[in-house]
Amino acid sequence: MDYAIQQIVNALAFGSEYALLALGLALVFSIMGLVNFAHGEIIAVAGYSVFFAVALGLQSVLGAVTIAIVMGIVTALVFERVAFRPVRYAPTTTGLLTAFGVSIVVQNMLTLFVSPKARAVPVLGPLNQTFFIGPYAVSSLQLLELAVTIVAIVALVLFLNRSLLGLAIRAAARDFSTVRLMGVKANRVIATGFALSGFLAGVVSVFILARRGSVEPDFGSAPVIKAFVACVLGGFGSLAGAAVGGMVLGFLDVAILVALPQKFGGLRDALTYFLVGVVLFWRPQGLLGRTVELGDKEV
Amino acid sequence: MLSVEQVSKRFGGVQALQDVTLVCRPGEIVGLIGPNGAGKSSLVNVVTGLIAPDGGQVRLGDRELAGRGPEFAAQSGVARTFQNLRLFKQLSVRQNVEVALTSGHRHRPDRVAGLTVDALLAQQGLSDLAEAPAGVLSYGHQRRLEIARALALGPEVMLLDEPAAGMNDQETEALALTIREIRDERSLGIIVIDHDLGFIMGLCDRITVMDMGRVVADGTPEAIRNDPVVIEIYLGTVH
Repeated sequence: MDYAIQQIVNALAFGSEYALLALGLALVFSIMGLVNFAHGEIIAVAGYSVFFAVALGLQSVLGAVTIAIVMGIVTALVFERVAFRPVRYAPTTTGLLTAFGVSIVVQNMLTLFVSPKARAVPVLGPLNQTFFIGPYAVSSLQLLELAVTIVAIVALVLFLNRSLLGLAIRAAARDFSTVRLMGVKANRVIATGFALSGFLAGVVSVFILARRGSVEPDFGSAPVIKAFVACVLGGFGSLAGAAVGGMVLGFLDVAILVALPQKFGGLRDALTYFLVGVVLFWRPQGLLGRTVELGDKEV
Repeated sequence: MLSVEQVSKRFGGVQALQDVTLVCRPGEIVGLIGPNGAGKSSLVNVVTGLIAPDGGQVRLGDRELAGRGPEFAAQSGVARTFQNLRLFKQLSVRQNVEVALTSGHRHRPDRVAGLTVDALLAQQGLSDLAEAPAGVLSYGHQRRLEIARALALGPEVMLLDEPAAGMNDQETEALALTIREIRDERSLGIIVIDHDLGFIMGLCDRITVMDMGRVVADGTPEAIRNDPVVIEIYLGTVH
């Protein structure tokens, strides 16, 4: 029983992190059809910013969290302005390749100018402590991840459903040109989408930093692959799908780890992806994805 | 007043628009007709800012719209509806109008003074459906919502792309009545594109005929009805 509860908490924590990552990808994709593989580098830049701040003498947890989130937003906006705006109306593949380009350039800059090796960033350690609730050992970080994810999703839903900019974003996610014909500025909608995804990336960066206590050049890119899978699983472009896909992926990961004998532990990812494949065979549009509506002849 | 002057646009090897000139004055209903591929949709897309023309001017009052994008055209006072309805289906009826009302008026605050979502919905008979998702409305109601949404921009000129498509005679008649009402109430310039010549002839003050990317005739419905060029386009030459 203890073991089961422990594993469920683990799964929820993993799932939360995947969900936050996947939401960042899904937001940008739903608005401008861009699969932003450079999302991982937003996380990396946020992490390295904390590393530099610590090197300059920063010691407070709150300061580090603020820096990670602010730099996540700033980096996302810079990527949009410098790299993605010029290819906004280009075919999807151009955007995809641009994202890979940004990802490679930033990773290599971090390798060249900082270090190819992991660098210690212990400042967020206090977020990750083990304490006991009755007989159960609980990680404060895992609870924090779950709580923040819930708050972030609720806030995002409220923003998208209640605010006018949120309405415009939701409308733009389906039909961008009609939204522009209503006088809504494309730049504003897209920049807001990127800023939100940058905010989520900053939050994820805090969690990864607190867990690992170090940064390295592929700090963000590995988790983003998982997030991409979560998006596909949930239904690409659907925000609810991204959150659900992330959670399901977290549970799959943990369930497989628990079920597999120790010596086959290395097969975890292979089995996870196999099961994801099975789900997609059953529902090719993803768990919550909708079949695409055909547009009409207007631009 | 909307004035399109000498507008040209080429897509690859196709001359979609060639020196097109068109005027729509306040309070005037202009019909735009022509066979498929005549360039009507291209012209609408140029006026609404979705396409930048290769040459020529699109003026609304003293404001140049060509090449400045759809947001600018919308905020300056150009509204349109679509042949195949393009509502924000997942948003509520109210929210559809709200997006347009709060975003569309930056350059013309005077034109939306006093406009409210409730009044626009009431005018189109949609008050009871305000909270329903736009996607579940009947076809006729969706058409009316598109008109309400376009009016929320406080437009000076409104382009209606095949507004009578899929309507029966009775509905078409009611639509013509609505269009005239809107025109009278706000002294809007209205450009109507449609294939239904009876509908266009009965509704419009003036008709512009396009073929192969050019304007081939322009005049009153009576003059257009008897224009040999128009007859040739629509009925073919008798050999």
